[in-house]
Amino acid sequence: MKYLYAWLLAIVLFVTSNRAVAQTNTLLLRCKHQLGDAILQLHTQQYRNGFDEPITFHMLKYYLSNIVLTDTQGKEWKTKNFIYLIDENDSTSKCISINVGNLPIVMISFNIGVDSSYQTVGLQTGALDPLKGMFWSWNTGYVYAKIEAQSAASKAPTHAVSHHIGGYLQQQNALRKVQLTAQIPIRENLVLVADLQKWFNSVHALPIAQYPVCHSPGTLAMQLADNIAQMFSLSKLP
Amino acid sequence: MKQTFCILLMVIMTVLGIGWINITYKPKLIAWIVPKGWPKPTYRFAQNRLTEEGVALGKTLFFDPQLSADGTIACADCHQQFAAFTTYEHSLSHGVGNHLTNRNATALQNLAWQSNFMQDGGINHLDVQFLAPLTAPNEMGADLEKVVQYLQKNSRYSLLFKAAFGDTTITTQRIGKAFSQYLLTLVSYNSKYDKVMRGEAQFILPEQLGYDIFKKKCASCHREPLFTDGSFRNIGMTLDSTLHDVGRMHITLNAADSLKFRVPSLRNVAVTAPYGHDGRFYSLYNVFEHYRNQVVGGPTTDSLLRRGLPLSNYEIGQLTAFLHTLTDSVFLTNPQFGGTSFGTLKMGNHPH
Repeated sequence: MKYLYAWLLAIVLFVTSNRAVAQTNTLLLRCKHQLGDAILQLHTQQYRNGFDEPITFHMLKYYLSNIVLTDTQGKEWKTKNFIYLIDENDSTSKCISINVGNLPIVMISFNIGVDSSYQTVGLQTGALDPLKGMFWSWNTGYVYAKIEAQSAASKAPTHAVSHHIGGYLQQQNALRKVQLTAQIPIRENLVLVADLQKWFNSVHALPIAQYPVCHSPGTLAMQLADNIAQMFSLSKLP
Repeated sequence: MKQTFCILLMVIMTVLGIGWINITYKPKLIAWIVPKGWPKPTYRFAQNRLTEEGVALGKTLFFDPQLSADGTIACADCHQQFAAFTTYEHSLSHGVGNHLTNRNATALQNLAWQSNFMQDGGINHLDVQFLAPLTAPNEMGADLEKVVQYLQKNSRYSLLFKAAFGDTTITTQRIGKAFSQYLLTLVSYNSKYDKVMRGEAQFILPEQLGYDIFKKKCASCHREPLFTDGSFRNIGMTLDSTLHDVGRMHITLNAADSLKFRVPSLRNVAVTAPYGHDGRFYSLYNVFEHYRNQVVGGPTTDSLLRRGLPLSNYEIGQLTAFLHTLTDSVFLTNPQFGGTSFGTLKMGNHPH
């Protein structure tokens, strides 16, 4: 009986002491989509990319996975879910809350896309349900990032610009890791800005006139993935 | 001491309580048996235990034409049981809106031993497979979201999903698992060949002679007991100028895989004509004729077939006799698979 009380006391102490150390703050990660300095608006607004090609967007979706925040002491904080689908058309999807400690955040890293381990074991649920429209059925695998748009520069049917980027096999891997350092340590809101100008022109120059459509894994998908990885930056504004 | 007893009692009550909640969901597990002498299956059954309720749901989905875009075509329309789940006497199958498919429908049998699917191997898991024919515009042409909505609105499916998975939630994952459960029951292992191997029957002379020739000339790719080694090979068929089907290369993007297709199993081969990935061979004789006289030697043509496969008329006769021993009439007529009754055959109103 004496031991039982001792054990109970130990457990209570352990739980409370742990809680004291792990006092958490909730930080909001917000995704903001832009073309240069202009905020992205679907359907209604025409933009020009770096090749002076006009473009109107109808859809923008991409997966963020394995999001890790690092605080000033080097401690790492992870999101509740491993994978999030960011959809321009769904404002709630563009806001991710993360529990962090008391210290400000100095670094964020994440992957754009889906780990291969989720792509060979059958069907997934939640953000990875094929219902989300980010899945290739003829060649199993997830679409990591997707735009549907229109441009007078596109010679594809209906002047479509349709980029579906994915691929997990060797030589086709389109998963990209992004790591960003904050110039000023972040305490509250973390604004992740994605500049879609870079989708077409950063590591590789991929004008719409030449590359209006990408619907399978391969060289073009990997080049677009390289570009997409360059889109992200942390906003200096809160 | 009283306190310990109290804690114990509470634990027991909780366990009983949970048991009580789950008492209504008790699917009947199916024992899935590996035929004697066969390799270990590649499907991971631990992640999708076969139950009578799950198989029943999968079977209902398989025979339901309402899943297609215009309600005319069920899976079972192009995968007919009496033809070992190929499309009987069709080189290419018929999709919605007068479309033709791009390839000859493959037999659905012994899928638990297959690690990738489609003749180009593009699909890496059985649970995922149904999405391809369901959503391809020239097959069932359906929109996955509409399929899920249809299933959710249908009270019969609510009951079937509840029986199979414990509640009425319908997800793509559950649909895929149910399809797999049904498809995994389609095991063909009762042909005359199997009975001979088990010592229950004996080959007649031409069959035995054919088996000896088969082991010498065919078995390295059509490996027993599944009668395929699961590899992708170019058997020297020319590229069809209307289909432009490069096969495996479409998936790997590797020129070395150009014109390679999965080695098909020869089980039930006598009932699955036409043959070839695009159904260009109308009879077994056409296939033999290809092997001995029409193999085109290209850069990716299989090294075993560079100079064709010499076959005499005599050998073709004996081989044909042997291949007929691979017909499994128990499989082709098993009422549990659901494709044998007149009612189910009429379920899809798509004219062939």
